[in-house]
Amino acid sequence: MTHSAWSAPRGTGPSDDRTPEELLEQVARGSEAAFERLYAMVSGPVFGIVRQVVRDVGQSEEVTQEVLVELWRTAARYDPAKGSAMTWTLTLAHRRAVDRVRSAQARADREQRVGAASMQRDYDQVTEAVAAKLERAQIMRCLSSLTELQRESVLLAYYGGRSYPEVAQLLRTPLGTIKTRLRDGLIRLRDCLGVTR
Amino acid sequence: MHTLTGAYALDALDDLERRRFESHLAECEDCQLEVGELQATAARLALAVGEPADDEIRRRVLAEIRRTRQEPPLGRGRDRSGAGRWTANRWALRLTAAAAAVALAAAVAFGSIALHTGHQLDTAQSELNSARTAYASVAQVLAEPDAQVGTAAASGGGRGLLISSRSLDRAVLVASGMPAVPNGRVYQAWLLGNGSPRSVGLLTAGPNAAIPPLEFPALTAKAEVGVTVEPSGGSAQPTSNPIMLVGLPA
Repeated sequence: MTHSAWSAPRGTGPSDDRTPEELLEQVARGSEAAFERLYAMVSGPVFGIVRQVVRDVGQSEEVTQEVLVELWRTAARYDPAKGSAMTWTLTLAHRRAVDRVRSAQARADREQRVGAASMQRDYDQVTEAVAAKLERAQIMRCLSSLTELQRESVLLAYYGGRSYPEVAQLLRTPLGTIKTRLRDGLIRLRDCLGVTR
Repeated sequence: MHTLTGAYALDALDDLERRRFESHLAECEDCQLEVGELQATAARLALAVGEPADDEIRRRVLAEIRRTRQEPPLGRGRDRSGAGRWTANRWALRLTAAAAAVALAAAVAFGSIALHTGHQLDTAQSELNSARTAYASVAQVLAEPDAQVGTAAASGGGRGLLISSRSLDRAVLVASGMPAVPNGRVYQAWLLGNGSPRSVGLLTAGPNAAIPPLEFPALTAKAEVGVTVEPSGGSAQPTSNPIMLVGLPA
């Protein structure tokens, strides 16, 4: 499975067929122009996942900014053998979003806002480019192939930024079961989406 | 341990478990492959919720990268063979831990953290999280085997801590306890060696009044770092006598 469907630049810039991997390599050598190009590709996905986890728009914008500057700063550490540039960037974005919500300050603010119902509503509220909509349709189809417990565990952990003990508590399910469901749920999703790396 | 690949890829482990799992990962090739695939899968969940970021973020990010120095690649020509590509990550992990320790020490030294109540502990935790990013450069230089540290008092109050590494050709100046400068003035740091002083940047206080570390190439073999008070925006050459001088060890 190629990543072209979702890593294609959105928006109206001049056409440019450099891949995110090539751009990141040029960014690592200090190219601000390549960074602007890469920014156009990744900023929407980065902001989207950060906002999904962090919720508060102001804080999400702060985290997004930090992530994108960190991308510039650490571009030379990207190793293509470990995965695509988009995965690398979004792994960083999710990690930083989780760091933010796990800090106790933000916790109280989020207490009542998590749950499968509110996430469903968020999906519906999000407006985005066509490529992302296609992606979402496929994601929705594949998510529906998971068992309910797998799906809820994966979504609470990823979109909710919950640790697996928190997921276990929220779903009133033993820790060991949640650990396993996170893994087999994600594996089933991987196979359905045809993800390699 | 192996069943934690899913929770790891979803960032659902706490710090301690994450670290334990990462050291397991360094030894387990099957886990590396699976984690790579599961992270790519999780990234697809992220893409499904993409939404345009405000243009203001773009403007701020582009302005910030123009004044942000990039970090070198991991490995830097040394022999880091062996456990393969995950070795680099473990190295980064140690740096993160070192950065957290430095940040905590610095925060306590700056008086920005005083632990009395649970609430303050929470605040401290979140300050620590943001400090960890700011102090990554300090940890990186400190992690070099030839790292050296020099200190000096500033004449108006406060201190400077200069950490440098010749092998990395990099130094970081950490200023603490410096009084606020009057409006329209700034602290500016200079590299003083052979020839005329070279500006290495402004020391600007962050939101909590602490001055973030200033990172710069060490450049010359014999040098000192001086700090002067300059008109807002800084000067091309120092216009006053240094309030602080720290030697850069050869």
